Amino acid sequence: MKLSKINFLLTAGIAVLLIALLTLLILSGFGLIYFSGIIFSILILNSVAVVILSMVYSKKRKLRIKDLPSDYQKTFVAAQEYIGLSTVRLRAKKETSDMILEILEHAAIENRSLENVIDCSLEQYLDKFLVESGNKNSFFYSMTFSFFLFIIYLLFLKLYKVIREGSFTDDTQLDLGGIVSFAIISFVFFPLLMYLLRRSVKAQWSGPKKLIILIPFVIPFGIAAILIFVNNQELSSFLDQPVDVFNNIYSFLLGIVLAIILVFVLRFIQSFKSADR
Amino acid sequence: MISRSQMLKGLLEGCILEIISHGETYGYKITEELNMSGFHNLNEGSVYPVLIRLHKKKFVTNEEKISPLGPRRKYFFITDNGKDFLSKFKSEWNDVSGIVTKIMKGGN
Repeated sequence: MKLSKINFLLTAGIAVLLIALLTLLILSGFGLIYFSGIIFSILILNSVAVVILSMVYSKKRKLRIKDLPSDYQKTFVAAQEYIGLSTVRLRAKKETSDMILEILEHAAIENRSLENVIDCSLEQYLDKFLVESGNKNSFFYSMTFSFFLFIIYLLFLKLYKVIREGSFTDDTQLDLGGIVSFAIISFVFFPLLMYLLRRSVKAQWSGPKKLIILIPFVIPFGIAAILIFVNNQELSSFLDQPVDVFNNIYSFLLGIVLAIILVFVLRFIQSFKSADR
Repeated sequence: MISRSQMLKGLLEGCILEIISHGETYGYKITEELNMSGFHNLNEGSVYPVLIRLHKKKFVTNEEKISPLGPRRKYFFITDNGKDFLSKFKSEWNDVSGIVTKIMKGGN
């Protein structure tokens, strides 16, 4: 079985198992403290397994890249960055990357010049591959992904509070400050960061210019600074307001369903674009 | 100005499928065969994306193998769906090319 399939099955299988077990235990109210220990142990073991498998795959790949001429190596590394920042599925990214490596390896054997292989800009060359795989840098896709991140954050924060308290109570309510902070991170910081990362690869920023990528980090650090250092009673009262979000098991499960639906919406947007062609 | 790439857009799928229907082959070899057949300006950047498209439409499957020269390659095989599509493509091409040839001759 291919490495990528093993990775996927490990991750998906563990995720489904954890969600099912957690739901059962929250419903039964039994041993949440102990279970949280089990959850984290399984998560850590899973992560270690995925990392080891990725390292094996990565080592084989690195040997192939090392065998390329230096200009081909630089081009492939730049191609990997560009492919990595695209919105296609992980599997499509790997397949596109494999195809580019295959092309470069064969061209290197034939001693072809890079200009002969890639007869346009690297971005234009790669876009031909990525568009077929469903690359969709649209505002709608970006906002859907941000919404997905926001929901996942709320779910995990709620889960943490429920595990700590042992059940859904008033103490597990989320505060407005936390929700607004992460809404800003999901809908402003993340899209801006992705935009700058793509821009940096397209325009091949290097040296000090590449530091422009750090600009969006002003947002989360700024939020943290306001929350920690600004001593304003009115602001504190406003931000500490409790908000009823996923305040029982049923709405929590609905949140999980919403997150799953958003995954399918994102995949649909990608398929819809590639079906047009 | 006539854009050959625009004309080729619809035809490449059929041409590439026909090459794959002769037996398992890989992207680089398909490009070489297209070049030798007369499409001298076609490169891998035009051919591989079509292979992605054919794979998504389930007209071909692929399998990665180590090649005799060393680099790993994705070998492509035509599927039953691909054979159906190819058969329809050939039929359409025969019709259309016949009509276009007739019109061009009449235009002289």
